[in-house]
Amino acid sequence: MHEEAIRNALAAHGRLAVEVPTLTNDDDLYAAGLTSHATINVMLALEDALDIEFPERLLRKATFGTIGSIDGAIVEILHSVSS
Amino acid sequence: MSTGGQGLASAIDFADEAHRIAAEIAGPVADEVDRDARFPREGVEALRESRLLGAMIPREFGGMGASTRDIAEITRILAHGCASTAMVFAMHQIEIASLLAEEEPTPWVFDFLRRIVADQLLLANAGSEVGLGGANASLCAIEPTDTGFHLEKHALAISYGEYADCIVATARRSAESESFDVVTAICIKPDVKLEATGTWDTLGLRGTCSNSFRLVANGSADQILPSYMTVIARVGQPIAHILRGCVWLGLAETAASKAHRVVLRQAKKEIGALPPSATRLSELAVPLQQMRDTLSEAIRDFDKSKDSDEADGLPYLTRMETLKISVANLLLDVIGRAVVICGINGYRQDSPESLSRILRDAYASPVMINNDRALRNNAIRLVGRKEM
Repeated sequence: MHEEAIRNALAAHGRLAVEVPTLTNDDDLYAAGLTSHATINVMLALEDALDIEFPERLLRKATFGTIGSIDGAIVEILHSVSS
Repeated sequence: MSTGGQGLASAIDFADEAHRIAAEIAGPVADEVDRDARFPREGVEALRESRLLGAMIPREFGGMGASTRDIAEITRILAHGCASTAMVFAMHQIEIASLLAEEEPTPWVFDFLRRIVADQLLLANAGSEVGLGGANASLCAIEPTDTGFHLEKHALAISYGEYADCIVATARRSAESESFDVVTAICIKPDVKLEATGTWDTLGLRGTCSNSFRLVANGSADQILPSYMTVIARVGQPIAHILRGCVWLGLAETAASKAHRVVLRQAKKEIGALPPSATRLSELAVPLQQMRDTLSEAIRDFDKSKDSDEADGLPYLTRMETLKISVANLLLDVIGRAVVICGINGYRQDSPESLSRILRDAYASPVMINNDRALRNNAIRLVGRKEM
């Protein structure tokens, strides 16, 4: 779980209407105010922090819907890199 | 069919009907609509009589089940006669397409679709707001009442608001909601009152009567549709770019026809000697064909992707935004070339080749849904994408 990295990226770039610590891993980030522009910035910050790259097929709204879904995408990226 | 027909019998009927309305009803009063900045009531009434306001609604609700391509064709052809009529038709159909894309339609939505067909209701949009512009956010909020909801909104523009039967307004879900937590309220006359707060005295598209209004509406809770943010990205914005693009294509074709007539006259003056304007016309044919190809391909991609996961992805959203910019740029290219070919006859207000109204209408294309906004949206997406 890369929860800390995700929460850090959301806090720095998510521009959410709520404090990141109040969010559960299943809360809808778009409902919390995550815009399409902020989504891109969160993704760029995660790419930088974790030295990964989100491929085109994962650049979908659903990927960034919750902290849990972002983590799922990161796990998938790391898995495909290692295998 | 210039955007590429599907060969359906019904599509031919749609095109015939659109040609008739453009040539016999909307076209003859287009200059008057433009001069007086008045609603193109003749064209819209004809669309109503032909049952075309409900054309896109599936047959199970009484509609004609017209495809995206059918609606695109009708829009393009209407613009040959009157761009304001075509734009009203386009904006109405954008609302219908968004309703049909509603994620979890309730029985109320199904009944409303039946009612649109039965009564040929005209739908207008109140998305923009004074203080916010056209952003996907709201200042105003839905207020719950004992019988449903109450809404007050100061809309920056409601095209043909005064003449529409229903106003589709965006608003915050509740007074406690953030500005981005937006829902759609279907406001139906007579339970919606509009007070014009601004005029619509523009260079072109003068017949859309897109005044600012203060809107006050009441309705039942059923009339609140929750999935605005998803629908606008997947369907609302792409279909807006497609159908508005068809208005621009229709205008480009009209300008091209006028230029063509001028060239034919010159060619007949000295048969055998190719007039220089013919080469200019040949140049004009390039961006005109690009417009047709661009729109045709966009309709294909829209139909393929709108109901799939692809529609939430950055490649689809980037692609649909480029359509908006391409078509606006190509239109101005075609119009500029037509002005040079038509010469003084195009520049005059009183000649059959006058380009006055077309040129003024055309300049709405980079301004309505501003090109800069579309470019900025794609700039953000491209920073995140890994492929072009």
